[in-house]
Amino acid sequence: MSKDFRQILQQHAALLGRVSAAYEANFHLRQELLQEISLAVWQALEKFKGESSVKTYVLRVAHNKAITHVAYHAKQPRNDSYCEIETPQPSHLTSTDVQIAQQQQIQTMLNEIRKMPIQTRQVVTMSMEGLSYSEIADACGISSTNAGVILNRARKTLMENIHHA
Amino acid sequence: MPDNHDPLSQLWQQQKVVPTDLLKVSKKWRKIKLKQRCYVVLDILSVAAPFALIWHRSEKLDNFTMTLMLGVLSLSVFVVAYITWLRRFSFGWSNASTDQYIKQLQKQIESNIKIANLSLHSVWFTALIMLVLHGGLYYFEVFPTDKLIHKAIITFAIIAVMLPCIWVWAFKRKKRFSRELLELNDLLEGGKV
Repeated sequence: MSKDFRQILQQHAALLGRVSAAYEANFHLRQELLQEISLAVWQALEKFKGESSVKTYVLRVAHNKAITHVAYHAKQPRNDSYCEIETPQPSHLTSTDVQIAQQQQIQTMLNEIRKMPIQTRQVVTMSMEGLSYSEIADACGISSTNAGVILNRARKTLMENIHHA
Repeated sequence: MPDNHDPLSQLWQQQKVVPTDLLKVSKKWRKIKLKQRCYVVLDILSVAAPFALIWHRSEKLDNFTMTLMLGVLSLSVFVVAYITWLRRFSFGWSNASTDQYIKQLQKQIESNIKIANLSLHSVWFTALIMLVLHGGLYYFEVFPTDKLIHKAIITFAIIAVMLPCIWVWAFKRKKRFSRELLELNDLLEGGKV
C-alpha cells in the first residue's frame, strides 16, 4: 500500500467510520462496511486529480460504496455469527450521566439519519462533516439550491427528533 | 453554509468510531488483485483452450463433431464478448457523483440479471447440443452402437448432475440481483437499514 494513501486513510479514518455508521446499524456489518469503504477509497485515490479537496473526494467515494453495501445487505438473511448489537454500550460505571445522555442523543440521531432517503442522508452527513453547499451539490450531482432545501428540511426533522427523544 | 459550531455537527463529530485495520485492507486488496488476474486467465482459457483442443485433435475428430464444436465455440466467443460488454458498468465509477454512480449501479445490477438469465438458458441449450451431438453421431455412424450408448450414458450422467446445479446457482443469482435492484430503488425513495 502506498505510504501517502495510507496516510490519507489514517487522516480520514474517523470520518469514514462516521459514514459507515450512517448506513449500517449492525456493529459487525458496520466494521465490514468500513473495510470495504477504506478499500474503495484507497483504489479511488489513484484516480484523484485534485479537482476537489481530498476530504470531499474521500466522502464522495465513501458514500458511493456505502450505497452499494446497503442495497446488497438490506434484506440479506443474517448469519448467526452476526449478533444484532448496534453499538457496544458505553460502560455505565465509567460514564457520567452527561456522557450517557450524549451517547443516547447520538444514537437517536443515527437512527433518524438511517431512516432518511439516500440523497438526504448524504447531504445531511456531508454538511455535518463541514462541506459547503457547492461541495455537497458537486458530490451528490444536484444543484446547490436543491442541496440547501434538502439540508434545511433534514436538519429540522433531526433536531425535532433528538429533542423529543 | 454548514457551521462548525452547530450543535448537530458537534454531536455528529463526537461519535465513537473503531478505526480501520489498514493491514487487513492491504491484505484484502492483494487478494482482490490476485482474484482479478485469475478471472482474466480463466476467461481467456475458457475460449482459447477448446479451440486449442479441437486443433490438436482435428485429425481424430469426425466432420460432424468438428462442425458442431466449431459452431458452438464461435457462438461462445460472441457470448463472452456480450458478457464483457454487459460488465462495462462494473468498473471505474466509484469517484463519480452519487447521482451518476447510482445510475451506473442500477445498470450494473440490470446487467447482472441479464448475465444470470444467460446462464439459466445455457442449461437447456447445453442439454439440446448434447442431444444433437449424440443423435448426429448415431446418424452418421461415427461409433459402433455399443460404444456410442456407453459414451451417451456417461455424458448424460455427468450433465444430469451438473446442469441442475448450474440452473439452481443461476436462478439464485437472478433472484439475488432482482432483490438488490428492488432494494436500491426502495432506498432511493425512503430510508431502510
